[in-house]
Amino acid sequence: MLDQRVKDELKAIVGGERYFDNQEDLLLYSYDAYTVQGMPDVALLPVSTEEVSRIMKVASREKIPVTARGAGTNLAGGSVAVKGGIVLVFTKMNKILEIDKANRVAVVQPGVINMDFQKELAKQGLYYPPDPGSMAVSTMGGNVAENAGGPRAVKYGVTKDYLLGVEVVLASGAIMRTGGKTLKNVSGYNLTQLFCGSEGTLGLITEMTFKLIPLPETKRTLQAAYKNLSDAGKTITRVFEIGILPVALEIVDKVCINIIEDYAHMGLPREAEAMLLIEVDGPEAAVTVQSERLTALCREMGAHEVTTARTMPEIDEVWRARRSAYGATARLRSTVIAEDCTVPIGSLIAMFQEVARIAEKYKLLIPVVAHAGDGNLHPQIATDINDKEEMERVAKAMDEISIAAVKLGGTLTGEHGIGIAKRELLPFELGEVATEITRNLKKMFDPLNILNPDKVVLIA
Amino acid sequence: MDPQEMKKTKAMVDRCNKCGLCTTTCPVYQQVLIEAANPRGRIQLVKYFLEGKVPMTKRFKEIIQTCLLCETCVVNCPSGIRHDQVFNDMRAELVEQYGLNWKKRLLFNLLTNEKLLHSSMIFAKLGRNWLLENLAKGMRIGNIPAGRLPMVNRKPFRDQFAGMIRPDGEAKGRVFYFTGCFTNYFAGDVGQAVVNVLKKLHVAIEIPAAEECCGIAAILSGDGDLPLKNVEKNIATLSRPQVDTVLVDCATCGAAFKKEYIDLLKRKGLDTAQAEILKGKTLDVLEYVAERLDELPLPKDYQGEKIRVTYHDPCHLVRAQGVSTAPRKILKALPQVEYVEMEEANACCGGGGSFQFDFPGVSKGITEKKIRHIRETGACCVVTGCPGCRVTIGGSMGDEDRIRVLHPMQLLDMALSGKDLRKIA
Repeated sequence: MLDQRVKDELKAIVGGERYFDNQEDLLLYSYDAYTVQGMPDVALLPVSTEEVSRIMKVASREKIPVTARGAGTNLAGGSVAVKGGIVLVFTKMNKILEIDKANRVAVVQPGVINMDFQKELAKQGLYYPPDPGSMAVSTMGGNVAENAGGPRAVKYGVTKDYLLGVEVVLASGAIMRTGGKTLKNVSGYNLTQLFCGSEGTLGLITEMTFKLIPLPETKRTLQAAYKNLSDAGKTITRVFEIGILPVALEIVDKVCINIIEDYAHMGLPREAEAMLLIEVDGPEAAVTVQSERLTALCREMGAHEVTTARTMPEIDEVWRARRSAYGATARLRSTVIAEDCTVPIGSLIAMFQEVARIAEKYKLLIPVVAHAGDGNLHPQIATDINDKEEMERVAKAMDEISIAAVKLGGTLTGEHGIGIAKRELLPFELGEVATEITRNLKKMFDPLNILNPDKVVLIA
Repeated sequence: MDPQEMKKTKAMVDRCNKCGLCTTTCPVYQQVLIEAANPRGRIQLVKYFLEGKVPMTKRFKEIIQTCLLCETCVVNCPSGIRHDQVFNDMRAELVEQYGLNWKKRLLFNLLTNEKLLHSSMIFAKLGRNWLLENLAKGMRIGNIPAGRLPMVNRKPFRDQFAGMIRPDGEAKGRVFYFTGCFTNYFAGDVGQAVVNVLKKLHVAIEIPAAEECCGIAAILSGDGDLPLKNVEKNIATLSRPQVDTVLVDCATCGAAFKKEYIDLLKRKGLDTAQAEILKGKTLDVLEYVAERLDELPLPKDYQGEKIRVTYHDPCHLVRAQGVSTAPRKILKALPQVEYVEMEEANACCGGGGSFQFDFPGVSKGITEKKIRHIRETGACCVVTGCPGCRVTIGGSMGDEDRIRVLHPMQLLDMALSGKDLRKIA
């Protein structure tokens, strides 16, 4: 519980309209898209770096936990105030400060929505490729804090590949700026990247500078339906062997095809065991040739139906449907836990089989969508949080899936983050030395352990 | 509320896995940017309420009511949650606990008593038309200047047109035209246009001398008792086998017949069989006409100058009824019209019935965006099949805009009667 005096002080910083300490609004800032909740003492919505800095000065003086929150779409509990204290909501710091066409960079505030950013850039023929499944909802601050990925990672990489600089408010309230508008920069350690994926545990990002690239001339999105999974798996390997680097290469299993179709009504092949989505982009001529070759390849590898989306509205529709997979899984059971295990590309089908084995072992329903082109699987555990017995099996299955991925040479999480969900498992992947270094790093940036405490790495 | 239905509501809100896709298109959230103002937040709040974690406080009430019921979240929800139904359930609970404020009580009492409504409109005509012309010109109702509110019909529409209107020659069909309160008391010109067009389709039109207000304003405010007798009367009259097709010119009346009646009866634990019959025979007049466009004598060889027209999708038509191609098909068929699609044509205009008066600040931002999108098309006329939208949009336009706000049937009627559409500008 916070002192009334401290509450008043915080309220004075942001003003009454951007301050909440009533039960109803606090409840609405107690969750993100994960299953764990944490009730904050106050929720503050700053509009400037200066306000964030003043809040942190109070927080560090009073040792109040501070949890940053963007759109609250995190799938690992990263934006939940498990220790109470302050939830710092960045939705009102949502300005695109600068689109610098000459230098091909943009400077944005943390509350800008990924898709809004992309739309603004497209008007000027510019492109910021990272497209997390939550892109229509999630904020750029959250994207950087989680080093968000997305389907386009296959060709274009993830958030870190575009981040050139940040402005960060540290635990003490001090303001630090790193990097800048240059594509190259080796002055000192790479502090910028340290914050990318730090999940709000090292500092609060208040401004970001991103590298931009030209918007591709055109694109095509193929949907190929298969009667069996292994044919789809073989196609994935062959795509690269015939010399095509697709923008995205996704696989969707039968259950997910059907729940997406239930929502989107776009005529997806309900009977198929698996569906591949393959996107290519570039100049018209190249894209035409590539999509023809891919169509032939898919058929050769056993696809019984291949369709191609050619216009932007068609393509947008395909991706909107694909991005609905997480939400649509709730049509099966009321609670959905989206796993994020990632393996070297060659082990993708092995990981698929592991998930199926674990689902069978624990008698769980786990449909899978995967960014097949980069080895990132999203087993969507469909369950019911009110069923205690089943939730115990779910917990075991989650751990086993993650461990299986690490054993295959992969990682616990490709793009969702460690948050609360995988903090106990982190040492298993990092090993003793790297865990200790991580812990020391956290202690150096946040000696009072007030920045998103108990996330990522557990102190002491 | 019916306990069985309450259970269903709980199961529905449990299904929200907080993906947040509803936040991106929620017009209220886009203005306010706090969690309490988006559908996900409201759904979670309802969940906590049903779990007994939060009582029905004043703030609870405010959060539930800061919603346009535009249903944008409903159509975008991958989990298939019917937010509108959940929020209406809660509005009903809130009315039980808090009652309605006196203004709404007065209005709904009036709307649910046709005799009283009819006689008060005679005074209202004198009152509104004289008062606003002379005294209240500078006043505002919500965000709308009083002078831009619609004029009251010289004589209620049904007083002039009730009965069976037969076409010249043999009738090709028969429809029941439910005029709704707005056409009856304010937009007689829309009613006239509907009749003109239907006559040209050679159908017999039955217009009842008395009909009951659809009751949706009260229903959506959470008062299910007051309008219940209207609902039951309308269902009884309109679901009779003698009535084949019920036409409405108002998106909201259509939404009531196709959806809200069924939801209300379920909430009350009442039988919905008759309401389902009514749903099955209700059509928006735009749907009906769009299907029969080639039967209309539209000039084919028009070579002259065209006027630019854009269309706004009313929430109660595009989402509640899934009607979006019919009005566009009609507009594109008009030789004198150059149809231009506005950006986000299906975004709510910000009116939301009484929302604009309860939350004028939020409403204003939403409406301004709509007006901007209309202006950007360069159209001299925006058409929409919802009286609420026409009042909000028309009321928020400046004199300098010179953009007419009409029902699509008015434009069609003018085109059919050979009027020079350029004159509407």
